[in-house]
Amino acid sequence: MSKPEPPFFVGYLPTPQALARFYQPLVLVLVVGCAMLGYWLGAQQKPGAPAVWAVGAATTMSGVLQVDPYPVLHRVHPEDPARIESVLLVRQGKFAATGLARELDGKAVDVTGARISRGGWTMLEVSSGGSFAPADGIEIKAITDRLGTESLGKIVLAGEIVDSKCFLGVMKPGAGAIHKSCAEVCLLGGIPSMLVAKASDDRKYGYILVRPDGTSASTLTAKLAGEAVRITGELERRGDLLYLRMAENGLERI
Amino acid sequence: MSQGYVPVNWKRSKQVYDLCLWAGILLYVAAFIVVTNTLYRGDQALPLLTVLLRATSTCAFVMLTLILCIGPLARLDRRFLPLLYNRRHFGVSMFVVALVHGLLAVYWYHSFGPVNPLVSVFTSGGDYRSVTDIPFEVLGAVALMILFVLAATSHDYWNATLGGPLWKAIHLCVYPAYALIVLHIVFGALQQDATGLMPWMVMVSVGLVGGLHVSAALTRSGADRQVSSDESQWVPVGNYRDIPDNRAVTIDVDTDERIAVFRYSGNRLCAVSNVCQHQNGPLGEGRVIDGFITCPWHGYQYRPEDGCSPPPFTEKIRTYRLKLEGDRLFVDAEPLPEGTPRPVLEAPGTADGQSNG
Ligand code: HEM
Ligand code: FES
Repeated sequence: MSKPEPPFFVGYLPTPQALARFYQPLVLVLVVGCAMLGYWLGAQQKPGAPAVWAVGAATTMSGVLQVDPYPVLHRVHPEDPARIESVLLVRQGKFAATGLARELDGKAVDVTGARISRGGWTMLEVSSGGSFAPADGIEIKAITDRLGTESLGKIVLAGEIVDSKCFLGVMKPGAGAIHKSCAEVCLLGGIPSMLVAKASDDRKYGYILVRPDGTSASTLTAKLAGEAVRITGELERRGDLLYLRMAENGLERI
Repeated sequence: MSQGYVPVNWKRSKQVYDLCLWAGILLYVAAFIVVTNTLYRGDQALPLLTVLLRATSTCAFVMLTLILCIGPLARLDRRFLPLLYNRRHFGVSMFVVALVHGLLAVYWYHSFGPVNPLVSVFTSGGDYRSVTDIPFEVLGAVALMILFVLAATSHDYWNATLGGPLWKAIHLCVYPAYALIVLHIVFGALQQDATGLMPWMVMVSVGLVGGLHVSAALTRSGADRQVSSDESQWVPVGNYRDIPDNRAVTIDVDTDERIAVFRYSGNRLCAVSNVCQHQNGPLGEGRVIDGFITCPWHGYQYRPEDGCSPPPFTEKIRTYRLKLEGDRLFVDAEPLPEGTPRPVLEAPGTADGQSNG
């Protein structure tokens, strides 16, 4: 019965030699294992969507301001002067820029802010202090005449409702289940509501959502952010943005 | 033990433990961030806050998994008992890491908007009426609150103040918290499959925690002897020589507590409750050190003569009476109140004589 006693650890007594020998390699393996596990799990993340939020770098853009349903700056496209680019405007945080822009509605303005961009989309995030200034030397009519507002007819689209600010580059992921609550708060704050849907060419397009009466649909769609939905409505183009004017009862979860 | 409380009673082993723990945490988080920033640059870069949020959340989840594995591991292989000794620091550190994740999520996902972020965590992002649409962040937030309570009451001061059973009940809530966190991941990250290994991480964790608990329970359910109460009050323990010196056998007599029967100093015999007053550690798996029954978990000590901790400590455990008939030892299944002295039996000398403690 006089087998050697297995080591017995008591925290306030010196650690038995045999245990120390057991732990030294184990601890080394565990600590190095932590680094490996972190590396491994980190490497499994998906890349962020190809989008940029140039936070901290101010850009100034000049054009004609349109406040409703969502603030947009229409300007001559910097790379293709034959085209008009429509830049969505939002405020810092999860708020619309509507209040800041209201006074200068329809006027020529310089807007300063941080650029947000994804694909062909451009958005400008203006500071809460107000970054709008009247601009000289822009002929308003030269731009508004070229907006080419047109109705593209009735359409049914299935996709996901997102808040355009996060989706276009502020958050990654800026859509989906993980991002749902953030999108909901953004939409409650008035950030332009957008439907991301696959078109018949299998590419994803973004459609700015408006209510049947043509006003902002942000708060209306807030609860459905991150959900798969089907929307029936009228498609309209203004500048280079596509607006989906939802029909009465034209919004359903799927 | 119970004399005067200090926030941490530093011992060298605890310092080494914490050092290794935080080295592991920092290495994990650093490796996570470095690999993300190396892989994804330019317009595919992930925001630093997102990366930090994910590094801390997965780190806390791995830590919680390990914490839940230590108990059954120590039961299956006694060499893991030292990990249990300082598990409190592991738990509090895990809470700190999880808190960083939770705060980052509240800051990054819920702040700067029209809704109070702390309200928003509970009101946005889902619908309680639909099972597939459970707001996963709420599950995480409730788990974090439970972990907070556990961390805040982890100190022995609270164990003594709240009393053992209540304290134990509170700390068993680590299991619901773990379940909530698993659901937090299943209804959140897994819906979007944010990282390819996430489903594996969850499955391995649940498998490890579940598997180890089941196998520890199976190994444990065999006390050394099981005796049903319809036998007489004097329950046979067996030949006293079969009890290893300075150690115990445990007897299960269908009462709420098992009995630990110790042989020490060669031929002395005593029986006490198997349940340590500290955190219900299994005294029967302990040793007699310097003449005291010593708990295998955190080293609380009790006198064989009366089940009292030596002064200045005040813990007491139930004691039991023993009798010898030749070599055969019997224990009286009726417990005596905590700290009751009764004669220690002296067997008439044993062959292998002296203590090796
Ligand atoms: C207030 C409490 C909490 C909130 C608001 C919260 C929020 C979130 C959010 C928004 C995500 C998705 C992040 C992303 O992938 O971009 C997430 C993921 C996660 N959370 Fe939490 N969480 C909370 C508590 C916890 C706790 C206590 C744990 C415990 C360890 C935890 C573990 C995780 C894990 C493992 C993930 C998956 C990581 C990933 O997406 O890569 N969370 N949480
Ligand atoms: S349970 Fe902690 S010392 Fe016994």
